[in-house]
Amino acid sequence: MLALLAACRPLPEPPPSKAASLDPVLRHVGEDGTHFAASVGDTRALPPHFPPQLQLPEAVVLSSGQIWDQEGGLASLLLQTSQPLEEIAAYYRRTLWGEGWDLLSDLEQANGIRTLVFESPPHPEQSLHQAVIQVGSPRRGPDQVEYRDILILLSTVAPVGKAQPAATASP
Amino acid sequence: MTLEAEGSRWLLLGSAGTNVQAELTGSPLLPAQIDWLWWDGGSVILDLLERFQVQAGISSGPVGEVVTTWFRQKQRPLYIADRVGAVTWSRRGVQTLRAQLDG
Repeated sequence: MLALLAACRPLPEPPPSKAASLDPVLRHVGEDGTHFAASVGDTRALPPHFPPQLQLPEAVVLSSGQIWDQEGGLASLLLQTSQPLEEIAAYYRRTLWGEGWDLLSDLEQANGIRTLVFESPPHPEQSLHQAVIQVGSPRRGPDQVEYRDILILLSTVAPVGKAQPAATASP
Repeated sequence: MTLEAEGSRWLLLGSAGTNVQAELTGSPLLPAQIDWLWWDGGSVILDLLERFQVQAGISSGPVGEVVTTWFRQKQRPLYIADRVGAVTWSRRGVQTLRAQLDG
């Protein structure tokens, strides 16, 4: 009987493995309460509200990060892709402009850098998002394929009345 | 009025009413495709957008839902100055006052 009880007793928690105990996201909280997060090679440092359509399908994630405080924040995602520039621009026009975001800018610089700016539809109770998508100039990899980096910055402003008063946020 | 600048064909509709737009739509003298359409934000007939296969638009004033939807569904850019501020076009692309101020 004792042996049976012992067999039913929950096993003690195994010690966490070294890999599991390491948080892959680098985090820091500044003295003024500003939060910082960064992660290399994945999207783990992105906020939950980061629109999934900003991540270009089949692009490789190089890094992610964000800075935020009580008034809003800025999230970043760095991608790499061999897709042609026009296809990249068309994808973002389709998924953002096509789904209700406003188109604020679409400019190509002389060095081949293209910058698109979109803004989420206005909503009285939802955060306003502005997305800057900067597609870098092409460079040839060792496989002779042309790659481009894509830097995506998403700024989020907390809805009016939702942000904490600045005085309570001070340390 | 039509003009060509930096390889782009423009149709400057301004405040032309729907009757004028219908006449333009039926005109064989105008090009088959327009790269940029500018108008003041009043009504634009869909026949005109289709006839000229309008590739992009700039509107000075508010735009009706039907026209906005046409541009969104075709995935063609439409800059609405009433929402995004002054629109600057160059051969490099389009910049709006809203993007400049926020940037």
